[in-house]
Amino acid sequence: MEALRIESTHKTPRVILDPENGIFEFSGRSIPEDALGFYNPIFEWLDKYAQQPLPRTHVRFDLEYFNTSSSKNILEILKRLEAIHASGHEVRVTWFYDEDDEDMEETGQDYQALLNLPIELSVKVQS
Amino acid sequence: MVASQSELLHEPALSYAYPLYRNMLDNSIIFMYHGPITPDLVVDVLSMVEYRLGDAKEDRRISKKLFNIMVESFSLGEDQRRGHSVLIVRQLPYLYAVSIGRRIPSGVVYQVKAFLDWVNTLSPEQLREEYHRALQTKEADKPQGIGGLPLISILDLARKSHDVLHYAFEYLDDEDSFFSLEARIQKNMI
Amino acid sequence: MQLNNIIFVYQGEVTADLVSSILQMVENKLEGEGEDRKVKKRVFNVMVECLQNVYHHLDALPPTDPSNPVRDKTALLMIGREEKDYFIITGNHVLNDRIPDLKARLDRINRASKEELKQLYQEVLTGTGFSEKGTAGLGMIDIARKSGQRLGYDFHPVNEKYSFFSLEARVSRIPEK
Repeated sequence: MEALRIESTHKTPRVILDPENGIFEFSGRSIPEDALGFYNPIFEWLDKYAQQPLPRTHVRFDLEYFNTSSSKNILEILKRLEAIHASGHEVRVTWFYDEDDEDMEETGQDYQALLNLPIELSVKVQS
Repeated sequence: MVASQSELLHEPALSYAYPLYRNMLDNSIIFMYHGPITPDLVVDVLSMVEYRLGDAKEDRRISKKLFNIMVESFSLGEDQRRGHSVLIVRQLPYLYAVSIGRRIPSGVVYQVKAFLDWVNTLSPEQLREEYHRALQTKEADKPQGIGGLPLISILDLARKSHDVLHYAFEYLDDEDSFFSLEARIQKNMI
Repeated sequence: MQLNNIIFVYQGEVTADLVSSILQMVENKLEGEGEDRKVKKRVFNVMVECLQNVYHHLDALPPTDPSNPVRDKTALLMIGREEKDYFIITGNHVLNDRIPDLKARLDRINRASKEELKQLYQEVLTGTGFSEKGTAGLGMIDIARKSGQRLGYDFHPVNEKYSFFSLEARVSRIPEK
């Protein structure tokens, strides 16, 4: 299975889905013109990965800001990961947030509450 | 002296420059925009406000909050392909406010008002529950809800601002009314 | 007020970073709407000069003066679009005793033909035109040259010492051949 790599723009995040090492990463901003258009290829990729996932997958979310239409799509991503996790293939999620960004922290807590998935909140300390 | 046609054409915009400036100063408005709200515009407005906050040496927690609220307010604008919305950012010593103004069908004004009044009565816990509910409804990002307004964005704004949402409606004609919504960040509440 | 044609208005201090972010916003906005390349360039150039001009006026204000209606060196920046033109308006406070001179310069600029503007520009540059403080007039001549249209202006009395000076430059949306 091929890795999926999407470079970041000033309005869409960088996405790396690496099936060799089981490391997924979402970083940057997400306020796309067409949220579904942006996230659909990611859903499709994850559906394929779910058929033969690695025993361990680590997913990092390191987002700067995003709107609620992206929140919904991120929830969809997490739901797919939840299903993989439930099938006995461990998925760990790390949700990074800036120490000064209480909203990003709260969003992480929202996902913790809504999903049966180990989501670890991790604070990024400003240098 | 007889003013030429071109001189007359020069009149309007110039004649309201001072009243507009006074109005902005009196209402602590730092920025107004009128037009379609595209993601590119959002990015540019954020970067402009970022410099402004940097110059004011604003606390990072407040800046982050303002950014998050701006990003969400913008998603309440009219459809970006055909719509024209109005954005206003206000900066006072003790608060920031972000307003979005747009047309909505006159027929849904009461519904929108009722929704906002209801949102304003919710406790933080209730807001979280309602937000979770809205997040989990299907049809990922189609503007659902009333008159093209994504209600989840309103819930999100209410949650993030820790304050009541301020709103106004102005009747334009039987078809459209003008709706404006202001989310505030009271610095002492953050 | 006829606000329909306004794209954006900024009110506040104008620092270099802010100005560059505002210019960026305007550039992206015109780009995104598929405005003619030449028109875009001219709007941009005229804006740069207008902002430069505002700086100049703000710098000329006494640094601390209780009769100044605003504490900081704040200004107004506005850009709008009409059917035929873009308009760029800047506004800032000036000392009342500067007004006769400013008016004289603006009127002279507005009377000048394209060729005369060019001459005037060179005279000011070499220090022979516009008697005192040579380069003060340079910016406005440059705006007039780049805009290709007459400059609009207005002085609104604020108090016994200050007025609000608005300057309007227009750029035609019909590209030159």
